[in-house]
Amino acid sequence: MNYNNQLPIYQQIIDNILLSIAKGDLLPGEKVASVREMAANFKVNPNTMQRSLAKLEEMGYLFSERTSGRFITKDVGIIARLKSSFPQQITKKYVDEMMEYGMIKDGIEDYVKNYIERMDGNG
Amino acid sequence: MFIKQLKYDLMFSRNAFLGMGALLIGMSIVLRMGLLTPMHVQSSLDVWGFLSLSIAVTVVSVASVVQIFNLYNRSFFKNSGYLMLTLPVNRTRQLASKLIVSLIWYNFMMIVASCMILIFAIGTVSWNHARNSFAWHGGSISNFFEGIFAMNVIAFLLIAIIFFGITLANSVIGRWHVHGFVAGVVAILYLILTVRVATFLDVLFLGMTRSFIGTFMMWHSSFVYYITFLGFAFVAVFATLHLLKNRVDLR
Amino acid sequence: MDNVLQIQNLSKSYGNKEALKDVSFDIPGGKIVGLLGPNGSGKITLIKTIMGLLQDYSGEVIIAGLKPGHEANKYISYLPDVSHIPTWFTVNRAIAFFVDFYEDFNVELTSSMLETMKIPCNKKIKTLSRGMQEKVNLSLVMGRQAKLYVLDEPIGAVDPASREFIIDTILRHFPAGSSILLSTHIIADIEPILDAAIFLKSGQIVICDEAEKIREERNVSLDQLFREVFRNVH
Repeated sequence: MNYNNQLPIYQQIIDNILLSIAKGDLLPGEKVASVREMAANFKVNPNTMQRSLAKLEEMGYLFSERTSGRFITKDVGIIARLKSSFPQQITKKYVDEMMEYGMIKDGIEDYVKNYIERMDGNG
Repeated sequence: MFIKQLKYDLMFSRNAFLGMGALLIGMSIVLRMGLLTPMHVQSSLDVWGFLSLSIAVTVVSVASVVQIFNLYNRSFFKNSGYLMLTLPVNRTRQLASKLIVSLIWYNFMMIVASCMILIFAIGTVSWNHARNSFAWHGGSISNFFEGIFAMNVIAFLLIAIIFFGITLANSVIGRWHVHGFVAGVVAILYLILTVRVATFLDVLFLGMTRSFIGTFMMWHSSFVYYITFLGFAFVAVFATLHLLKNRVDLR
Repeated sequence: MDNVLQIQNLSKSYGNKEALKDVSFDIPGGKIVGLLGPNGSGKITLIKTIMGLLQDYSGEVIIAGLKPGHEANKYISYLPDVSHIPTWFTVNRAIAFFVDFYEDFNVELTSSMLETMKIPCNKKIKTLSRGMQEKVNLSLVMGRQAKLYVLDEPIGAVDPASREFIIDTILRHFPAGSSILLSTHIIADIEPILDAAIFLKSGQIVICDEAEKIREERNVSLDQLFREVFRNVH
């Protein structure tokens, strides 16, 4: 994983893991590797990884069982909300940028429709 | 454990000394074969004996000094110093080990020298004549062992001074890194001082015991030298230890 | 958590030149700390002091409760900037050496590291490539279960692929509760693994802070901060 070293890395790890959960790369109830292992995989400091995992637990995406370790939440509701939050974020970003460029509502919709139609046309 | 330390110090220098020994003995054999001309044994014995003795001792001494210098220098003051001087072993033990190992190798080289002499002597000298000659020169078993002891005392002094010189050359005194040349000069002056003091004490003692005669006076003479040499050697060792503990700086 | 390393008012001069001036910092257990600075900043002097290679200093240096010296060296694993293991050793001989002199040396760990890196253990170290030699040195150093690891330029002379491997090795194998002091001037690759960074300039600490805090508060990477701090130094 490539980090933007100008921003807190623990947050970037959180975002990365949330994306994995949303995409289904990490399944509900799946066991999460140890802090050590995760830190080595992500090539970060173990304390940073611990901070990220603790935050994710706090946010409800992970839970830990004292003897067996950490697991992805089995709460389908929270995962569904997460799943939809990504497209929403991307949409927000897109619309905000288009509006900054001077586009208005109908114009934005037209651009999106045309683009998708062209995609379908090209197969 | 100290034994481990000795084992590694022996191992580090083993190739150098064994190689040197093999080379010298090999050279002697080659030279000897080249000189297989018939000689008049009796008259040429002393010349031949003296010649081979001097050559063997000189060559072997120079070779020993160089190798002992390397043994110490390479261990502590080249890149491997970063390993050796950061071991969980105190400096006293490390220095003691190197002193002992150097003495062991010195004696090994003396055996090499003896072999060289033997190689030159075989066939040119008859065993009986050699034995008589040895006895006539005042040789005996106890003298032989005292000879070994004397050579070890001298070797110990020289080794201690060499170690001191090398350590000094890698030390920082006050604000200066001691220059190698300066360390060398100090070492040589120290050696000269030792000999001077020994001779001075010898004469002094001689004067004080003028009433005693013959071999007893000779024995006292050696005694003074042994004590002085050993004393100065130990002073050099302690100075080296002080530098090792407080003043060395790896570049 | 007990401090693995405590440095208080450490100063060291070579005659007129002040190599270190009033340096103070603590490293608790379980931290990876970067010692950052250009050549001549005093990093090497600081490291030598910790390792007991320099004695004539003022101030306090305490490692695992001990003063620098052969007693403290039992708890420190040191990777110097030079190839310190006699190159005529075979790798196996080097391993035997570490077994003989270090009680905390874990042979299995080092051997498995070397196997993973496909290093031929019966070869003399001088016959190996520079990159492989670095890996051998690192495997031996990380094979020790020490309280403090002092790594001087561990990724300096190595290609990028090997760098990744070295960083991975460091992260996986240092014991919990132990700490690492990592001296380097190649920052970009290594900054994600640092808990904290000490910026040393002309013998003095100019910045000493947690890495994430620097990112949060200043919005810069350690690499950028390094360039800023040492802009006018060669």
